[in-house]
Amino acid sequence: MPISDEELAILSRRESKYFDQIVKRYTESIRRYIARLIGNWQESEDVTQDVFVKAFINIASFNPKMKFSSWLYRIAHNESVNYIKRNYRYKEVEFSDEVKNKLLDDKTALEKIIDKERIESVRESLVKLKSKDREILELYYFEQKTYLEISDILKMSVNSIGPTINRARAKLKKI
Amino acid sequence: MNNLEQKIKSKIKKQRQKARSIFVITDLARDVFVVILWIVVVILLGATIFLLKSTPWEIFGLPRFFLPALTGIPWELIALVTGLGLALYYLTINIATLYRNKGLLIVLMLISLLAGYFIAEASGLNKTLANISPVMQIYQRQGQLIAPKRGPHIAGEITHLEGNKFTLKDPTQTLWQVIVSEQTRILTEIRIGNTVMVVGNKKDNDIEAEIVKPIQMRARPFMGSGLNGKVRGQNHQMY
Repeated sequence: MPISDEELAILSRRESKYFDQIVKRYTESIRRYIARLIGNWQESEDVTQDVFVKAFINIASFNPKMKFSSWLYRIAHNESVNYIKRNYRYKEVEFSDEVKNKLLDDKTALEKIIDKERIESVRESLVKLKSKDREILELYYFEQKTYLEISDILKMSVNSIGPTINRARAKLKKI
Repeated sequence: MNNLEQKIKSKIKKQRQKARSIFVITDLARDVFVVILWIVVVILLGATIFLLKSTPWEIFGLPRFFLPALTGIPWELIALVTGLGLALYYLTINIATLYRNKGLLIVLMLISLLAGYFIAEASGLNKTLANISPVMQIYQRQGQLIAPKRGPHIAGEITHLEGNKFTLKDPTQTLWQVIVSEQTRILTEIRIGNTVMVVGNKKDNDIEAEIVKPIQMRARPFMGSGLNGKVRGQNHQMY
């Protein structure tokens, strides 16, 4: 039986080799998530490294009552927000073609948002959304997170997740 | 193993984890701070409501009194309570149980604030606070606004003290019985021989004092038209 993320996190406090497994499990998904937030595939590599270093240093602060992935995504969210603040202070994030292509490849998630016939325009529209709206849609549809996990990542009330997703979807449809 | 994983692992090897005790102590300190801050906000809000209740709102209706009237509002306390309240909110939304249920957090805050106010009123804490600087300064500042420049009021020398009453002898040698209650704003020391101005409600030769403030007798010891009913009336001019 494979060891759960939460067990790995606790074991990592004693031996760093267990953290390597965490790195293996999450590197790709965290990088994809960060790239979508900051809109730069190349830069996402540095931010991803920072996320894992931060997670490793602060692994003792992880509360096993929470899901480990939520905790890690929260760090990724914070690091991405910091990156955006540093680099895009007065403008919205603009997506590079590389990120757009990677984003547009993910069909299954987008199919849940809207019907297949309009999928191409939706793919284009998603990158035009404001980062807050885009992030919640990405966590729900792309990363398949539950309301409780999104609540932990974005520190939002669980009850407000549904309406926020609906509002972001409505904005997406307008675009 | 891909290149990025390799980079992350080599970076991690150079790092040291923070000890669990650091986080335990930090969390404990935060929780204690939140509780203390919560109590402080409740107490200060009680004092703010107390001062707002005693704000002479009628002066806002008078012409050219807008700026002095602003000093009647406890701005400092409102700003302080708002700032501390926001700090409390942002501290508490880092606690999982509370940010997951922000509605519960807001309800908890409102209930505790209201309950705190009523407890402070019932226990007399608000009145005690009103006698502590800087709350007292604001309270006295409000009293100065209510005290009239012209109009019905009485000034004189305190000749006798007894319980919650004192006798005031005005310049016409008339004696007045001044009754002081918990609602009276006392802006000066009540002592035999002191000269004070009393604003209040007249009943024969008794005055239920609203304000007792110091006065310089050499100016105009007896001003206005005497005590006619309630002093703080429609035609009453204030400064």
